Amino acid sequence: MMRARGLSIALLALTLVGCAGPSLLLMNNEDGSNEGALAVIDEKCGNPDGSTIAGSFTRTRLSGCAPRPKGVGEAALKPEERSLIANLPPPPARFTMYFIPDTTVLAPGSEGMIDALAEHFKARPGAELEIIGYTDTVGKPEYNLTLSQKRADEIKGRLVQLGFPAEVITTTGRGETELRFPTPDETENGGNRRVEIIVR
Amino acid sequence: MRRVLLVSLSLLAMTAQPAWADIGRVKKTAGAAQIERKGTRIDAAVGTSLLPGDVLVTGKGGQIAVAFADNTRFSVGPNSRIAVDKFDFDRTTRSGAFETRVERGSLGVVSGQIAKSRRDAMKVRTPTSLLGVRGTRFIINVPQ
Repeated sequence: MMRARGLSIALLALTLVGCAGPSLLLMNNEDGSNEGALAVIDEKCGNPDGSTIAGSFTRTRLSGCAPRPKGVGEAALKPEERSLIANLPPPPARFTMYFIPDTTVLAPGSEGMIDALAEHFKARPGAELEIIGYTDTVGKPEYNLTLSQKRADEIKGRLVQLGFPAEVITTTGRGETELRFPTPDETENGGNRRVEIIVR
Repeated sequence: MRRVLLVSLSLLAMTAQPAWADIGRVKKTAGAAQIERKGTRIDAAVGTSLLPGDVLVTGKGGQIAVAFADNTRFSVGPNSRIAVDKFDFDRTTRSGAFETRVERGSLGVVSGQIAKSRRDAMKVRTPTSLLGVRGTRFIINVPQ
């Protein structure tokens, strides 16, 4: 009991310290990993690499060039901090559709994805779509760049026909870069002939 | 044959690219929530497009959530002024530069593709420091 009280007083003190001036609360990543970091990079600090602040659930006063993060633990988050995190927009959702070789025609089975996409879109206030086209490695890179853009434009056209507002849809072609399944050049691969749709 | 099919399909699908000056959109809002743009104030309604230079302003009980084109996400707390000073993003290379200033209040951030593109490509300024974001989820608090 005494120990618990001592702990809560210590936490309160930490919280008050955090309130004195600008502060940083570094959390874990959304997937629970701890790889995140920030760095104090003020030029006047004379440290070109910056002073790194790492470690999830740490609180740091933002003053001076040598930050001293203090571990606080997830339980010590203030209610207003919890609500700030809860109010973040949801992470983007991703859909993938595949194509018949050297065309902008959807492969069998990819049509059904449009319904799932539509439902997802309606459920997200202020939603936008980013459509990114890709190809496999058959053909020249420049040809594939154009083909990938046409794939993205084709899907945009179909979505607009279905009533999606054109002004919230962007398209990009990335050709035979960022292969989903790495292959040598001139290799047919259905998994690489795709558009990826990001709902934001 | 394939080539002919492709050309005819692409002609059908060819549509003008929208001007993508906007860098993000408001996804959620509550209470007193506005966007200061070139000296005027507009309501931060859901779906409102943001431009570089915009300042997100909230009053008592106010809140604004924004998703940016590089998948960075912001949650602005009450009594806040958050200036999006710079947002350059190349959709093809997924690299760019992003600078935000927390003048007062609170800002929750999940960083996106710009922060991953290059060391300190995403920066956050507070009245007392300049931070380089190296990919993470965090909260900045600047009390009055």
